[in-house]
Amino acid sequence: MIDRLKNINISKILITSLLLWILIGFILYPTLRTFSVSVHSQGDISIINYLKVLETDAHFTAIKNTVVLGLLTVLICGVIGTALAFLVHFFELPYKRVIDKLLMMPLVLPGLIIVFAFVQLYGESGLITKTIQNIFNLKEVPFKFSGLSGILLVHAYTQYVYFYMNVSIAIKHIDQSSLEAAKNLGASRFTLFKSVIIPFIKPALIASSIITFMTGVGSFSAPSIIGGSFKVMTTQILLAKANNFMGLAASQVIILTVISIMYLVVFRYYENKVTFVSQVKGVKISPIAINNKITRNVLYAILIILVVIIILPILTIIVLSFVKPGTWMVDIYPREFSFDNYVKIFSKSRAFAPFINSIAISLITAVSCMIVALPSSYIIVKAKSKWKVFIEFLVMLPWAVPSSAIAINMINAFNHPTIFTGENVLVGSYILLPIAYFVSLLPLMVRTTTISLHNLNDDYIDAAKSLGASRWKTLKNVIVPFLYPGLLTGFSFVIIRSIGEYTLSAFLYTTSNKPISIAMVNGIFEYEIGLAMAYGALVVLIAFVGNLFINKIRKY
Amino acid sequence: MAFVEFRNIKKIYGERAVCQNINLQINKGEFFTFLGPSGCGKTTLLRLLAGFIFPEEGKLFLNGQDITTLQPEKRNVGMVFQNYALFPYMTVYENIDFGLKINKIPKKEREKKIKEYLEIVNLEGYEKRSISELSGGEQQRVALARSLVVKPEVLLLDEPLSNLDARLRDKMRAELKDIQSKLGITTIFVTHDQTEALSMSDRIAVFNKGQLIQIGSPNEIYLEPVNSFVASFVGETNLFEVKIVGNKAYVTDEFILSLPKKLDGKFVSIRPQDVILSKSQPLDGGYKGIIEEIKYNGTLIEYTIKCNNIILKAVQINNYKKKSLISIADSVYINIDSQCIKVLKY
Repeated sequence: MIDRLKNINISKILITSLLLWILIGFILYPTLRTFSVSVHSQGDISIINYLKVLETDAHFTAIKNTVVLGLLTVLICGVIGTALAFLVHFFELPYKRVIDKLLMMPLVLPGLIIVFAFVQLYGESGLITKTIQNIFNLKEVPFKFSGLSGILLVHAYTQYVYFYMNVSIAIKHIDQSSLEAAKNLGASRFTLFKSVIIPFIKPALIASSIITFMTGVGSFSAPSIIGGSFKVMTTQILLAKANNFMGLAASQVIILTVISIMYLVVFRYYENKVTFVSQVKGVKISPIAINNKITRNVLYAILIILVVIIILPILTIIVLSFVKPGTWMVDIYPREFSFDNYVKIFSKSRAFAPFINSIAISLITAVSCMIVALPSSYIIVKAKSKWKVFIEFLVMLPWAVPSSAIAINMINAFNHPTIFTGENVLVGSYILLPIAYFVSLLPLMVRTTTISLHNLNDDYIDAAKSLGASRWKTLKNVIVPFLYPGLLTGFSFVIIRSIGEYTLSAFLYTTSNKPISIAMVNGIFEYEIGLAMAYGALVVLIAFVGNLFINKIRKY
Repeated sequence: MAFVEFRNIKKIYGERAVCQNINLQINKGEFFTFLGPSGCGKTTLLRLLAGFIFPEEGKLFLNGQDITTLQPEKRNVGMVFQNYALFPYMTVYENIDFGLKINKIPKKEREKKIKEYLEIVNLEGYEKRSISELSGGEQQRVALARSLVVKPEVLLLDEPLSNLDARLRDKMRAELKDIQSKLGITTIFVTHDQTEALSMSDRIAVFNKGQLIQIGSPNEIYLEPVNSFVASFVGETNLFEVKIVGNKAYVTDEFILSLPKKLDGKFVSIRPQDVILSKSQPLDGGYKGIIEEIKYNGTLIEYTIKCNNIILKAVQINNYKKKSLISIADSVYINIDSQCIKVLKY
């Protein structure tokens, strides 16, 4: 028995050290490295990079713009997401489940694709823009889809879903008895809302605002494509990197990361203060029926419009992907359709390569995320390791770091040989992109595995053992079946997120690993809109299949 | 020879010994109960026997074999968990099949056995059900069948009835006992519920703070408790700290009990049913008290009586003939037979 204990200890130490090696090498070291680059100038320690950022008007404006963009995104998404959540879950509604599923859709759609679909719809020569101009016989375009308002429109569409999702869950947990008790004590509708409903959904609001703010300030696709003169930090960072001002890029990355983490810390603190655990099992609320006919019809009309707005971008991508190359130049609407774009992707190796690259990189990312997430979450949930807190900090750190920052960290860390990479330089190599994807998506994977590990009560393992199951049989027949829904969900989410990834790719791709998103952007700039949309449609297809798959996974 | 034996067992968690000096022998086919308040170490002993944890000191024997360091899967000890621990992603059939499959029993035989055991636990036709469709009582039965089907040498039950509602608990109690005696399987049952322990067990071991206090049949435990803890934990009692002079026990200077003979001790225990109440003064005097509270629970009526600054509990059978004439604030006479006073050393 002593021998066996020794074996267990040795393998434990081995796994923990390997894990720490990976986490320190690819998450902590790159972050510290960027910090070090930011405080060095020509070999000496100096804060000149920071002074440059703060004193140059263009850079300082970008910081201001980023914060404004983040806050406005939170505000707009908060209003839209919360309103939708109440509309769908607080009131009685036909086709509730379908509408709910539909409203969750933007969660699986890559931002870049939404941006392009929006440009095609609402841009200067967009389908909707031109249609309105024609109907009302306007000389000028009725609205301009660019700058801050354009970015906000895209953010509203892509990010309301965080508020919608969290508030919906919170509404479902409002305790009917609390509502009835308040009414019984004589509360008016307003008091009811203020003192019962708000406290129930407040934690959800704060949690959503954190993720929305972090996504907002880290957003890259929308500002880079439709931002125009509205400069934000993410685009400035790419600019600095492109001009090889790595010190400048590094200091901007540090500032951006600090902004993001500061919001997280402040609001996390506030979230913990307002979160409560209800002592008893609550009674679920039953949706409220709307009896006034006019109100009801207005609500239905709003819902129909919403559904159309949500579906329209996806429809646009699919329809435009069938536009025959070279036929849609001056007309408002395309007239000739064919499979040519798809044929091109699947027959020309130059067009097919990005598709294969994206799939390969996604798979590498998902597999490596799973391999690292499993022992990490095991240590976080079950083990009594002294490294627990440190490991949890490291795996969750990338969650608070914007993608553009992760990209710069990668460049700073691996543009020279390191012991973590076996003395290889990774910048310019194929593997750097999957590594960056891995770092940015690891928190997502760890979260889903952690949840399923929580479900795996030790009693199940004991039960299996007392029925005679060996270590291997217990692993195969009990532990794996318990974990696999979570692992599979995480795996699918990572694939969905990687397949259309744009920010990291824009910073780190090389000719050997050009992914689908870059090919799509190139397609747009080379006026091969149909081809770009066909790439987009393939990404949407993969995302939907993945999502369908996630919904099919049995959960306990 | 004992079928299951705990010899000098000691288990330490951190720096605290959760149980020590445990010496216990359980006979083949016995229904044996570990009784005690939560945290007394009874579940620890069960888990030691199952092999989920190992003792710091002492030895464990099962059917003459030293199993102290044996891994749980090698022990052939069946366990039913408090939360049942049924695998939620498997059907009823698959759950029961789990252990049989591991033991590499041919498919035909497995099918036959599963059918047989589903019958034993009264769940015929439930094979295809998923666990989430079952009620608490049904889950309990599946867990029981899953443990029994592999023919364990000893069956361990860890507070299996605590998650059921009162009525179902009574029913399962009877059923469990019935199945046990039908199969004749040696069973160790852990509970903090004295009614469960008294009504089901052949023998009971009472634990407190990691120590084994008393072993005996339910009747011995109830009637001959070895100390004040057992007396007050098993069944209701009137427990008083007393000073004994000759054959008189002084609860206070005004409330003196006469003992059948000269006895040594620090406490006396009087069961409430041995406190006789009457409206008229009995021949041998007795004490006069005032009824403070009456609790009516159907079969019995419980009285709280204040007598010379002492609070006493008494119960009477609630039958038509006696149809209680006593009500709150009445004065009553209290009579306690000296044979019914149990003197305890500590």
